[in-house]
Amino acid sequence: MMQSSKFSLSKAILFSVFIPVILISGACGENKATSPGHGGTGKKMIIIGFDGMDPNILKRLMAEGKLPNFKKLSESGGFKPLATSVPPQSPVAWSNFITGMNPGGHGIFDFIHRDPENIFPYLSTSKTKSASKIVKIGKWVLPLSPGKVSLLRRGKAFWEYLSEEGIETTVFRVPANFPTTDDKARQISGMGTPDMQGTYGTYSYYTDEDTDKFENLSGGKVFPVDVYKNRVRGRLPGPINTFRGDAPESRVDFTVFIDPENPVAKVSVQDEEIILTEGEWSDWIRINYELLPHLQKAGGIVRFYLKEVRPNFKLYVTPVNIDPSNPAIPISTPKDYSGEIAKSVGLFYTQGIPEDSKALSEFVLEDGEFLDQTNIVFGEEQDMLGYELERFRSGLLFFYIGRVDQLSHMFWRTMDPNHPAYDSASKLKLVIENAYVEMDGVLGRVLDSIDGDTTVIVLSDHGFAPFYRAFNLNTWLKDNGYARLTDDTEGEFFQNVDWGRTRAYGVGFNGLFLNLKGREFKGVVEPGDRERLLDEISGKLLSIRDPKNGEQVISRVYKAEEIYSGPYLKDAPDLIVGYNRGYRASWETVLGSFPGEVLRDNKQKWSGDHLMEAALVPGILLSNKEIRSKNPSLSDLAPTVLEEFGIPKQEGMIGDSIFKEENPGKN
Amino acid sequence: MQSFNRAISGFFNLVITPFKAMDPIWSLALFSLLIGIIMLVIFRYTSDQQKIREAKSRIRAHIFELSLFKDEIGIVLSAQKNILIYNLRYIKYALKPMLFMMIPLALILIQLESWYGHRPLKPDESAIVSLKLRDNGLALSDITLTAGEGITVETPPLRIPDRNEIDWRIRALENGDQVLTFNVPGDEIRQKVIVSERGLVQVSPLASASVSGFTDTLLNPALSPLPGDSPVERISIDYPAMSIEIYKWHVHWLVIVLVLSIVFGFALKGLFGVEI
Repeated sequence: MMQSSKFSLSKAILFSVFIPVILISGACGENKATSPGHGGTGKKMIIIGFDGMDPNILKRLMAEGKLPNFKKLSESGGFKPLATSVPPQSPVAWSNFITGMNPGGHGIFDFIHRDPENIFPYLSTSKTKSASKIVKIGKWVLPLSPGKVSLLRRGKAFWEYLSEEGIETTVFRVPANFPTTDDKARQISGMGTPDMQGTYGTYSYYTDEDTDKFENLSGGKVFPVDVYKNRVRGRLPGPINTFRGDAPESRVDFTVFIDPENPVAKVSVQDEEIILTEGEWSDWIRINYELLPHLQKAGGIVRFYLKEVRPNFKLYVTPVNIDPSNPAIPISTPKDYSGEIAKSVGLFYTQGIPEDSKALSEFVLEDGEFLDQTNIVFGEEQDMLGYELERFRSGLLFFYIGRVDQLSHMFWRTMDPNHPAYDSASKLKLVIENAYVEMDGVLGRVLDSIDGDTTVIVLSDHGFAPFYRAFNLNTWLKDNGYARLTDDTEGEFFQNVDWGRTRAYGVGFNGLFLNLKGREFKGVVEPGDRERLLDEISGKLLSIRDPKNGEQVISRVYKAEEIYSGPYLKDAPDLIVGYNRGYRASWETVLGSFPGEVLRDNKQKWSGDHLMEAALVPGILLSNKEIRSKNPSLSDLAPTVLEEFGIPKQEGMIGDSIFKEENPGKN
Repeated sequence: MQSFNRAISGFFNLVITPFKAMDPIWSLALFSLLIGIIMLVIFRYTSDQQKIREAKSRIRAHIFELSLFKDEIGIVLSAQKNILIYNLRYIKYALKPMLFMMIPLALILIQLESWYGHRPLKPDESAIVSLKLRDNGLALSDITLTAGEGITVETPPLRIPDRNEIDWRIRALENGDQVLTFNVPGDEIRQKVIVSERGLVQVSPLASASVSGFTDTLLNPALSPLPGDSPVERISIDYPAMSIEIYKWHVHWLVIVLVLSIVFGFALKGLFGVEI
């Protein structure tokens, strides 16, 4: 008995001490996340990517003394235009930056690609594959294997080489990197990251006003609601429920209580309640969609914006973003990195392009409301930059901000009297200029945080230009006998194309393909006729003049093989159309529609653009280290980074370090 | 009921005081230890230890029988039947002490919920304050809310007439016990709002209620009683739920207590000479 007691006592002491120690050491473990800069060379480098920053605007504002930090940086190392990609589209341009290759090497040729098996357009940077093995039980479908999201960008990212050498690297929201690569670099995915509905951002809008005016929406859904006894009931759409045989959209119900007199409302959704006054944005609210009762949920986050209480009820809800603290699909490497950020700075937008320009274009948000929304995004970005700068010790930090790009797209009309949508009474003429000033503040914060041994590079992927007139490439091809339709409707996704009599078609913002025998599913153009036909179409495209003003509409047309190299050249469009300043492909033609007019005024709020001839919209390049390259290009940045860390330029990379003189410049 | 609540709350406050500035896991570990010991003592004196010992011995013996005669189907079936029978007997013997444990355990857990279920507001955090009126003919529009210095009312009142409810959104500005004043015709109700960035504080989302609510009083030890004739039925403040983090996982305090008290109970049963 005595022996037994002794044994129990020792066991008691063991449990009493050991288990709490384990638990407590676990509780303390939260602060043990590795910080960058403990491996590699000790070299320090920060790259800031300001999407869409234009060298001409930057130069002017620097000359006016409005950008002291940019001026300081340009005086220490230099400021040059940075040759962008062909075509100058963000996924293409940032892929050039990431891989040091051109599209023939990384396989991203446009925002939109097409499947030659059915000529159906799809988003170019990632694809989702459902579970290959399933079992059906009644109305339920249970996956036996996991689904998969794949990055379609090929070529090795520069940070993968850095990781292999043990250099601490953080890559924050670089476009064309969803899902993030599987290596030791800390990464949060950027442009290309979907919302919970699998789109690039689908807002919801609830109103009791006439909803007929909201036709053909592409960026969101409008839900008519009734205000009854000062209550509004709505349903928040979520992900497609693939656990159900009929794959319905999942929904979460919510109720809005409205005060009988005051402009204030309470939103009650699941176990959350928020009170908003008119014109107020909520914080992030977690939403859980039940996919399999009691077994499987998918969590997302939304913000509510109470636009108006009366006379009409108007409630905007952001796209359901992936919850970074508990992501339904991985948005970071390592997987818990997004949660670490969320824990430090709070929940944040995770969709690839967080600024909801579609809601502005589709008159759901007004100019000021959209600006407020972008200010929320920018606030989050600044918090996250602060967090990363605080952590940065050595290695590489890349940080991306898309604010200038999005505001330039949406507010060019406010500062350009020649724009068809120009409003001389607009009070927002300085929005774009102010965005540059804000980025100067960001740069100042970075410069203040570094020591003398840190190399800083500031770059943009392309510049900006006005978007005055929209060109319907497919309509032009039809009018010139290169494309034939089965009926007179505009159609979409090429549904009314007579492929047996069509020789060429346009997909994406700058791509033109021949309907080539042996490549396209109903190809008619013999490979031997390819060169002649491309020359013929190119010549005709270059000769187009705008009947409104006599301007040349297309200033340059490239054959893919002239400008691309690498294993994916076979997937490239046959021709890349470089539009003149002020012109761009229409929204309709991009996805395979054939509107009536070849050219029309762009009266939309989306008024600035860069999807034109690359030479017209170069990006910017500044550094605190002397830029010796005469014609630096985006493809030079990957070898530049590698050489800064003592790693030689890798096979397939077409550029050279910007800090070397002999660089010839590449696209 | 109030005196009883005050006494128990006072005891818990006394125990928690040295731990208030520490990570909640420490005080939860202590309470788990106390719960483990209390449960052992109750089990020891309310159960028939001899019969429990016998039932467990029988179960062990029949398990041993299973392994010895695994090729004799008749013996195996008989042993399985006996294992089932003695398991049911064991449960029967354990039932009585479990019933004795339930009441003190419920009281302890209710107290712990008031300490670990929610946390105070932090400066710059907002919360919804709700006031519910009795059906006494008072108009919701007659009620106003004013805030003291360390707190602000951010929204106009949101009235929901068919619920007799008014909501406001408040925002904490400074640490400390801040005060909201509800001006109800014929009455003025002062409500404390706790704003604190660190340390354990007893808070209750149901901040004030009329004393007639026995269940509310029992379930909300931090409740401030309202006079029985008050036109206000209840005032609630949606204090944020407390999050206890262990190895990057957010764990509910109840799970921690459940696991730790079982661990402590089994670890100490020999010391207390208890057969479980």
